[in-house]
Amino acid sequence: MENLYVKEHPILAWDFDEQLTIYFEDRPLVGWKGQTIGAILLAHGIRYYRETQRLHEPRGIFCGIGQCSDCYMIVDGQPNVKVCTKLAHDNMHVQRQIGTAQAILGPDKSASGEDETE
Amino acid sequence: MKTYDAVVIGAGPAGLGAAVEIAKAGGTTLLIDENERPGGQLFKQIHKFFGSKEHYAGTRGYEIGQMLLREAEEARVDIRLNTRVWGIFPDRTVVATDDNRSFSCRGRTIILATGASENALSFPGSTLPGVMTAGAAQTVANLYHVLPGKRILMVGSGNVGVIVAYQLLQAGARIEAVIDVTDQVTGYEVHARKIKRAGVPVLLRTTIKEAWGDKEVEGAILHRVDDHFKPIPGTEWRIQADTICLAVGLTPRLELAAISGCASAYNPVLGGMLPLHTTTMQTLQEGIFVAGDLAGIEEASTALDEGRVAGLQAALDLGLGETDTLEDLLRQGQERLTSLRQGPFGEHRQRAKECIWQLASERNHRPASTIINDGGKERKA
Repeated sequence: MENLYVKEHPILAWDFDEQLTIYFEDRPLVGWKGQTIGAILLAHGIRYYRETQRLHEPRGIFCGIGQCSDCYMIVDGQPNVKVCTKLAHDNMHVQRQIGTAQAILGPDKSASGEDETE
Repeated sequence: MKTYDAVVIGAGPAGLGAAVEIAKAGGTTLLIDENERPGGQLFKQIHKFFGSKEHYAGTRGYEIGQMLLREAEEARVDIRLNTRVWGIFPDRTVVATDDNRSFSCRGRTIILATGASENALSFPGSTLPGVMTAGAAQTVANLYHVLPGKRILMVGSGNVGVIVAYQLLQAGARIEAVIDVTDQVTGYEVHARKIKRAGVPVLLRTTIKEAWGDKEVEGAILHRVDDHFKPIPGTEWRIQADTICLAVGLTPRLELAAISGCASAYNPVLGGMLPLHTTTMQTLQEGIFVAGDLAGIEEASTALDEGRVAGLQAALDLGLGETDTLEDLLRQGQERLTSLRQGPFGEHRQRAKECIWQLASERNHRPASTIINDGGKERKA
């Protein structure tokens, strides 16, 4: 399967050795221990991580270092996980987050508060 | 509640430099960072640094990071990762959370090394997945060995723009163009030449009008600008790109300095609002120091030496270690900073820093050797 992993590089050695699998809405994706969820998704061409609450717009990785909140996803049933900095573990289940995730997770587990980013 | 000689917030080059110096002087040090790993943005810097041998010239950023982590380990710096500071109180109580529980601790001194955020740029389509900061693309490519996209448009030809464009080329991406609204490349010529040699079009007096695509970026509409940076009608054209990287400057992360009550000032050369500080990185709040990009956007090597200077001054104020040795090291650190701020780019930053130091000294009526209020129990440094 085609992916965007960079195994040949003039400076950097490929130093990931432990392979793992995460699931994006039941689709298995191969990654390596030490990579973030966000990076593994990008490697498989998945870039649409979140849908905004009111305007239903797509969002993906923006800052990449845990500052901006654009990459919130549902990870193993928990909403508002910043996947750009969250390291992946084997068997993690990742879902696109729609707004505060209430429709998916129910009011108890959804993220509290309004989505201010529209 | 535990009290440390220093609580250092941010484990990038500045925070690591500060924590190492205080710990080496014999101080108890807690270094807090919100990320899963220490090092800040050093580990994604795969290019060789400039400067002299003392500035680790010729060494790649991640190698400097590895050296710093070894130094921190040898100096027995206590590092707490995955931890976000959300409060700093007037008695220098620091409150932090690891998302499961909160804890508080006190710092006889606090060093803020919270770094910077990359600036966003607003245009129709700028929120589409595939539009990201240049730093995000650099992180994904260099830390996780994943190409953020195959066809990339770089907006901004400053150092970040040209360096990241080259590194994405090295990782195997195609750079459709590097564009800049000004009429010259603003990054170092050494880096700009590398992308030009690789045949990347560098389009000046050009900016992005909008990004297009259904659910994610498929391309961009560019247009030319006149002498006043106003778009010239009729010059629009479309290019295809699956990724648009924004390299349009950085802004100091002022939040913690602001809630600590540190007086700040605006300086466009240094990235915007930043805390006023002295030549030894003391803010106008007793016992609170700043270092690195928070104290003005510069480079990683500058951040490291500012951290060391802040740490050494804090150690002196606390009465730790041998005064003569610490003062020697402090002077050496300041000399390295002066030499890092030479040359056509550095001189601007030197002058801007002098402005900040001047403002700080005008507003600071306390003697250079500060009195640290230790929870009601005053102690002279």
